[in-house]
Amino acid sequence: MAKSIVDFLVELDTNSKLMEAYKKDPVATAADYGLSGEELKLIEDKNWEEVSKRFDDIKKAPRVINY
Amino acid sequence: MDTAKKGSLVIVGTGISVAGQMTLAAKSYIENADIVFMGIMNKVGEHAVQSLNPHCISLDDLYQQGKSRALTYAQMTDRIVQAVVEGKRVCVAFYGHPGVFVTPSHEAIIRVRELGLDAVMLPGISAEDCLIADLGIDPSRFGCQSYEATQFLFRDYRLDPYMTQIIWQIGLAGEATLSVLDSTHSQPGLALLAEILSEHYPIDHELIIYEAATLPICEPKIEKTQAWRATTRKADTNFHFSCAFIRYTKIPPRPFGKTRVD
Repeated sequence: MAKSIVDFLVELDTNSKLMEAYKKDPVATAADYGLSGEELKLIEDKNWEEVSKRFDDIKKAPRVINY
Repeated sequence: MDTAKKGSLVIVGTGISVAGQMTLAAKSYIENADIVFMGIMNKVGEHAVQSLNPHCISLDDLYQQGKSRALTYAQMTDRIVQAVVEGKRVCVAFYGHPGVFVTPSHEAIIRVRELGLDAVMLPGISAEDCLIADLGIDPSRFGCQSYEATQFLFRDYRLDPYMTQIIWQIGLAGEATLSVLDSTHSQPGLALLAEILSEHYPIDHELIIYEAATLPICEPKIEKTQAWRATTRKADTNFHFSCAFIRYTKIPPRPFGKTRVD
Protein backbone atom coordinates (compact mmCIF):
# COMPACT_ATOMS: atom_id res chain seq x y z
CA MET A 1 0.00 0.00 0.00
CA ALA A 2 1.31 3.45 -0.89
CA LYS A 3 2.42 5.63 2.01
CA SER A 4 1.41 9.22 2.38
CA ILE A 5 3.58 12.17 1.38
CA VAL A 6 2.56 13.76 4.71
CA ASP A 7 4.26 10.95 6.64
CA PHE A 8 7.22 11.16 4.27
CA LEU A 9 7.66 14.89 4.94
CA VAL A 10 7.52 14.40 8.72
CA GLU A 11 10.00 11.53 8.51
CA LEU A 12 12.28 13.53 6.22
CA ASP A 13 12.26 16.42 8.69
CA THR A 14 13.20 14.25 11.65
CA ASN A 15 15.38 11.50 10.21
CA SER A 16 18.83 12.64 9.10
CA LYS A 17 19.64 9.36 7.35
CA LEU A 18 16.53 9.60 5.23
CA MET A 19 17.33 13.24 4.47
CA GLU A 20 20.86 12.34 3.37
CA ALA A 21 19.50 9.63 1.10
CA TYR A 22 16.89 12.06 -0.26
CA LYS A 23 19.54 14.66 -1.07
CA LYS A 24 21.51 12.08 -3.07
CA ASP A 25 18.51 10.68 -4.93
CA PRO A 26 15.15 12.31 -4.17
CA VAL A 27 12.96 10.25 -6.47
CA ALA A 28 14.45 6.86 -5.55
CA THR A 29 14.26 7.68 -1.85
CA ALA A 30 10.64 8.75 -2.13
CA ALA A 31 9.84 5.63 -4.18
CA ASP A 32 11.56 3.37 -1.63
CA TYR A 33 9.53 5.03 1.11
CA GLY A 34 6.39 4.03 -0.75
CA LEU A 35 4.89 7.20 -2.17
CA SER A 36 2.19 6.86 -4.81
CA GLY A 37 2.91 7.59 -8.46
CA GLU A 38 1.09 10.93 -8.33
CA GLU A 39 3.08 12.09 -5.31
CA LEU A 40 6.33 10.80 -6.78
CA LYS A 41 5.63 12.94 -9.83
CA LEU A 42 5.54 16.05 -7.63
CA ILE A 43 9.04 15.29 -6.42
CA GLU A 44 10.30 14.29 -9.86
CA ASP A 45 8.98 17.57 -11.30
CA LYS A 46 10.16 19.54 -8.26
CA ASN A 47 6.68 20.97 -8.14
CA TRP A 48 7.17 22.66 -4.76
CA GLU A 49 4.51 25.23 -5.52
CA GLU A 50 1.89 22.50 -5.68
CA VAL A 51 3.26 20.81 -2.54
CA SER A 52 3.21 24.12 -0.70
CA LYS A 53 -0.31 24.86 -1.97
CA ARG A 54 -1.53 21.53 -0.61
CA PHE A 55 -0.07 21.88 2.85
CA ASP A 56 0.71 25.50 3.76
CA ASP A 57 -2.04 27.89 4.74
CA ILE A 58 -0.44 31.30 4.77
CA LYS A 59 -3.75 32.95 5.64
CA LYS A 60 -3.16 31.73 9.16
CA ALA A 61 0.35 33.13 9.56
CA PRO A 62 0.32 35.02 12.84
CA ARG A 63 0.32 38.81 12.77
CA VAL A 64 0.92 41.73 15.06
CA ILE A 65 -2.38 43.36 16.05
CA ASN A 66 -1.30 46.46 17.94
CA TYR A 67 -0.65 49.41 15.67
CA MET B 1 -9.42 18.37 51.25
CA ASP B 2 -9.68 19.88 47.78
CA THR B 3 -9.54 16.98 45.34
CA ALA B 4 -10.71 18.91 42.27
CA LYS B 5 -8.26 18.58 39.43
CA LYS B 6 -6.49 21.86 38.74
CA GLY B 7 -5.97 22.85 35.16
CA SER B 8 -2.64 24.02 33.80
CA LEU B 9 -1.30 25.53 30.61
CA VAL B 10 1.88 24.93 28.64
CA ILE B 11 2.40 26.81 25.40
CA VAL B 12 4.96 25.37 23.01
CA GLY B 13 6.35 26.19 19.58
CA THR B 14 6.63 23.61 16.83
CA GLY B 15 9.25 25.53 14.88
CA ILE B 16 9.05 26.74 11.31
CA SER B 17 9.60 23.36 9.66
CA VAL B 18 6.96 20.67 9.95
CA ALA B 19 8.38 18.54 12.78
CA GLY B 20 12.16 18.60 13.06
CA GLN B 21 12.44 21.86 14.99
CA MET B 22 10.15 20.76 17.81
CA THR B 23 12.09 20.48 21.07
CA LEU B 24 12.06 17.29 23.12
CA ALA B 25 10.32 19.17 25.93
CA ALA B 26 7.61 20.50 23.58
CA LYS B 27 7.05 16.99 22.24
CA SER B 28 6.70 15.59 25.75
CA TYR B 29 4.17 18.24 26.83
CA ILE B 30 2.12 17.60 23.70
CA GLU B 31 2.15 13.85 24.37
CA ASN B 32 1.06 14.20 28.00
CA ALA B 33 -1.64 16.87 27.70
CA ASP B 34 -5.35 16.20 28.19
CA ILE B 35 -6.04 18.43 25.23
CA VAL B 36 -3.83 20.09 22.61
CA PHE B 37 -4.90 23.22 20.77
CA MET B 38 -3.11 23.81 17.48
CA GLY B 39 -2.30 27.10 15.81
CA ILE B 40 -0.19 25.68 13.01
CA MET B 41 -0.42 26.97 9.47
CA ASN B 42 0.76 23.78 7.86
CA LYS B 43 -1.19 20.55 7.50
CA VAL B 44 1.95 18.43 7.74
CA GLY B 45 2.86 20.16 11.00
CA GLU B 46 -0.65 19.50 12.31
CA HIS B 47 -0.31 15.85 11.35
CA ALA B 48 2.98 15.64 13.27
CA VAL B 49 1.29 17.02 16.42
CA GLN B 50 -1.79 14.83 16.01
CA SER B 51 0.43 11.76 15.79
CA LEU B 52 1.73 12.60 19.30
CA ASN B 53 -1.66 13.09 20.89
CA PRO B 54 -5.09 12.17 19.49
CA HIS B 55 -6.87 14.84 21.55
CA CYS B 56 -5.99 17.76 19.27
CA ILE B 57 -8.25 20.66 18.35
CA SER B 58 -7.33 23.17 15.66
CA LEU B 59 -7.86 26.86 16.32
CA ASP B 60 -8.15 27.51 12.58
CA ASP B 61 -11.95 27.59 12.54
CA LEU B 62 -11.80 30.99 14.24
CA TYR B 63 -10.23 32.66 11.18
CA GLN B 64 -12.65 34.29 8.75
CA GLN B 65 -12.18 36.62 5.85
CA GLY B 66 -13.30 40.11 6.89
CA LYS B 67 -13.11 39.33 10.61
CA SER B 68 -10.52 41.23 12.60
CA ARG B 69 -7.64 39.15 13.81
CA ALA B 70 -7.93 40.96 17.12
CA LEU B 71 -11.31 39.25 17.61
CA THR B 72 -9.98 35.93 16.33
CA TYR B 73 -7.10 36.04 18.77
CA ALA B 74 -9.38 37.02 21.67
CA GLN B 75 -11.58 34.01 20.88
CA MET B 76 -8.52 31.75 20.75
CA THR B 77 -7.50 33.01 24.18
CA ASP B 78 -11.01 32.41 25.56
CA ARG B 79 -11.04 28.86 24.22
CA ILE B 80 -7.65 28.05 25.74
CA VAL B 81 -8.42 29.61 29.14
CA GLN B 82 -11.81 27.89 29.32
CA ALA B 83 -10.19 24.45 28.92
CA VAL B 84 -7.75 25.23 31.75
CA VAL B 85 -10.62 26.44 33.97
CA GLU B 86 -12.36 23.11 33.31
CA GLY B 87 -9.41 21.39 35.00
CA LYS B 88 -7.58 20.11 31.93
CA ARG B 89 -3.84 19.92 31.40
CA VAL B 90 -3.78 22.07 28.29
CA CYS B 91 -0.99 22.30 25.77
CA VAL B 92 -1.13 24.82 22.94
CA ALA B 93 1.17 24.26 19.98
CA PHE B 94 1.85 27.31 17.85
CA TYR B 95 3.89 27.41 14.68
CA GLY B 96 7.38 28.92 15.06
CA HIS B 97 8.16 30.44 18.45
CA PRO B 98 4.92 30.65 20.44
CA GLY B 99 5.81 34.07 21.79
CA VAL B 100 6.80 35.76 18.52
CA PHE B 101 3.97 37.39 16.52
CA VAL B 102 1.50 35.37 18.61
CA THR B 103 -0.90 37.42 20.71
CA PRO B 104 -3.16 34.68 22.18
CA SER B 105 -0.23 32.81 23.72
CA HIS B 106 0.81 35.77 25.88
CA GLU B 107 -2.80 36.71 26.71
CA ALA B 108 -3.70 33.17 27.75
CA ILE B 109 -0.70 32.90 30.06
CA ILE B 110 -1.57 36.20 31.75
CA ARG B 111 -5.20 35.20 32.28
CA VAL B 112 -4.44 31.70 33.55
CA ARG B 113 -1.89 33.06 36.04
CA GLU B 114 -4.43 35.64 37.22
CA LEU B 115 -6.65 32.68 38.12
CA GLY B 116 -3.88 31.31 40.31
CA LEU B 117 -3.17 28.41 37.96
CA ASP B 118 0.11 27.32 36.40
CA ALA B 119 0.98 28.62 32.96
CA VAL B 120 4.30 28.50 31.18
CA MET B 121 5.68 29.13 27.70
CA LEU B 122 8.49 27.07 26.19
CA PRO B 123 10.65 28.69 23.51
CA GLY B 124 10.56 27.47 19.95
CA ILE B 125 12.47 28.12 16.76
CA SER B 126 11.32 31.32 15.08
CA ALA B 127 11.65 32.61 11.53
CA GLU B 128 14.41 34.90 12.78
CA ASP B 129 16.36 31.87 14.02
CA CYS B 130 16.02 30.30 10.57
CA LEU B 131 17.12 33.54 8.91
CA ILE B 132 20.29 33.68 11.01
CA ALA B 133 21.18 30.12 10.01
CA ASP B 134 20.20 30.39 6.33
CA LEU B 135 21.85 33.74 5.64
CA GLY B 136 24.87 33.06 7.84
CA ILE B 137 24.67 36.22 9.92
CA ASP B 138 25.40 36.94 13.53
CA PRO B 139 23.00 39.65 14.76
CA SER B 140 25.37 40.47 17.61
CA ARG B 141 28.18 41.43 15.25
CA PHE B 142 27.06 45.00 14.61
CA GLY B 143 23.70 44.88 16.34
CA CYS B 144 20.35 44.25 14.73
CA GLN B 145 17.00 46.03 14.52
CA SER B 146 13.93 43.94 13.87
CA TYR B 147 10.44 45.31 13.13
CA GLU B 148 7.12 44.28 11.67
CA ALA B 149 6.60 46.19 8.40
CA THR B 150 3.33 47.95 9.20
CA GLN B 151 4.57 49.08 12.58
CA PHE B 152 7.72 50.27 10.85
CA LEU B 153 5.57 52.50 8.61
CA PHE B 154 3.22 53.78 11.32
CA ARG B 155 5.60 54.38 14.17
CA ASP B 156 8.42 56.82 14.04
CA TYR B 157 11.20 54.35 14.68
CA ARG B 158 14.82 55.46 14.44
CA LEU B 159 16.54 53.30 11.87
CA ASP B 160 20.28 52.94 12.40
CA PRO B 161 21.77 52.06 8.98
CA TYR B 162 24.96 50.84 10.60
CA MET B 163 23.03 47.96 12.08
CA THR B 164 21.48 44.96 10.37
CA GLN B 165 17.79 45.56 9.65
CA ILE B 166 15.10 42.91 9.56
CA ILE B 167 11.64 44.04 8.48
CA TRP B 168 8.99 41.34 8.81
CA GLN B 169 5.89 40.63 6.72
CA ILE B 170 6.71 43.20 4.07
CA GLY B 171 3.98 41.98 1.75
CA LEU B 172 1.42 43.23 4.27
CA ALA B 173 3.16 46.55 4.83
CA GLY B 174 0.48 49.15 5.59
CA GLU B 175 -2.35 46.61 5.97
CA ALA B 176 -3.74 47.57 9.35
CA THR B 177 -7.39 46.50 9.09
CA LEU B 178 -6.35 43.07 10.41
CA SER B 179 -9.25 41.58 8.49
CA VAL B 180 -7.44 40.50 5.34
CA LEU B 181 -6.65 36.82 5.04
CA ASP B 182 -5.72 36.35 1.43
CA SER B 183 -3.86 39.46 0.41
CA THR B 184 -0.75 39.01 -1.67
CA HIS B 185 1.05 42.25 -1.22
CA SER B 186 0.39 45.90 -0.78
CA GLN B 187 2.01 48.05 -3.47
CA PRO B 188 1.47 51.40 -1.68
CA GLY B 189 2.87 49.98 1.55
CA LEU B 190 5.95 48.65 -0.22
CA ALA B 191 6.46 51.98 -1.99
CA LEU B 192 6.32 53.81 1.32
CA LEU B 193 8.72 51.32 2.84
CA ALA B 194 11.16 51.88 -0.03
CA GLU B 195 10.84 55.64 0.42
CA ILE B 196 11.79 55.40 4.08
CA LEU B 197 14.71 53.09 3.32
CA SER B 198 15.94 55.45 0.60
CA GLU B 199 16.46 58.12 3.26
CA HIS B 200 19.07 55.89 4.87
CA TYR B 201 20.62 53.80 2.09
CA PRO B 202 21.93 54.35 -1.44
CA ILE B 203 19.30 53.56 -4.06
CA ASP B 204 21.18 50.46 -5.24
CA HIS B 205 21.80 49.12 -1.74
CA GLU B 206 21.17 45.40 -1.66
CA LEU B 207 18.51 43.84 0.43
CA ILE B 208 17.44 40.24 0.68
CA ILE B 209 13.86 39.09 0.58
CA TYR B 210 13.81 36.02 2.74
CA GLU B 211 11.33 33.37 3.65
CA ALA B 212 12.18 30.34 5.76
CA ALA B 213 11.44 26.88 4.38
CA THR B 214 8.47 25.16 5.98
CA LEU B 215 8.77 21.85 4.16
CA PRO B 216 11.95 19.73 4.23
CA ILE B 217 11.94 19.25 0.47
CA CYS B 218 11.96 23.01 -0.17
CA GLU B 219 14.78 25.50 0.13
CA PRO B 220 14.35 28.83 1.90
CA LYS B 221 13.51 31.70 -0.45
CA ILE B 222 16.48 34.03 -0.66
CA GLU B 223 16.15 36.76 -3.26
CA LYS B 224 18.71 39.52 -3.55
CA THR B 225 17.30 42.79 -4.80
CA GLN B 226 17.24 46.52 -4.14
CA ALA B 227 14.60 48.29 -2.10
CA TRP B 228 13.15 50.18 -5.04
CA ARG B 229 12.90 46.97 -7.08
CA ALA B 230 11.08 45.21 -4.26
CA THR B 231 8.24 47.68 -4.67
CA THR B 232 7.59 46.52 -8.21
CA ARG B 233 7.98 42.84 -7.42
CA LYS B 234 5.39 40.59 -8.99
CA ALA B 235 2.79 39.41 -6.50
CA ASP B 236 2.95 35.84 -5.41
CA THR B 237 0.89 34.10 -2.82
CA ASN B 238 3.65 33.58 -0.33
CA PHE B 239 5.07 37.07 -0.37
CA HIS B 240 3.08 38.47 2.49
CA PHE B 241 5.09 36.99 5.29
CA SER B 242 8.48 37.32 3.67
CA CYS B 243 10.88 39.67 5.35
CA ALA B 244 13.40 42.16 4.06
CA PHE B 245 16.88 41.69 5.41
CA ILE B 246 19.29 44.56 4.97
CA ARG B 247 22.90 44.20 5.85
CA TYR B 248 25.73 46.59 6.12
CA THR B 249 27.29 46.15 2.65
CA LYS B 250 28.57 49.51 1.35
CA ILE B 251 28.05 50.96 4.80
CA PRO B 252 30.93 50.27 7.17
CA PRO B 253 30.30 49.42 10.80
CA ARG B 254 29.61 52.44 12.99
CA PRO B 255 32.97 53.63 14.34
CA PHE B 256 33.63 53.27 18.04
CA GLY B 257 32.46 56.29 19.96
CA LYS B 258 33.62 57.73 23.21
CA THR B 259 32.55 55.35 25.95
CA ARG B 260 30.71 56.51 29.02
CA VAL B 261 33.52 55.38 31.30
CA ASP B 262 36.04 57.73 29.62
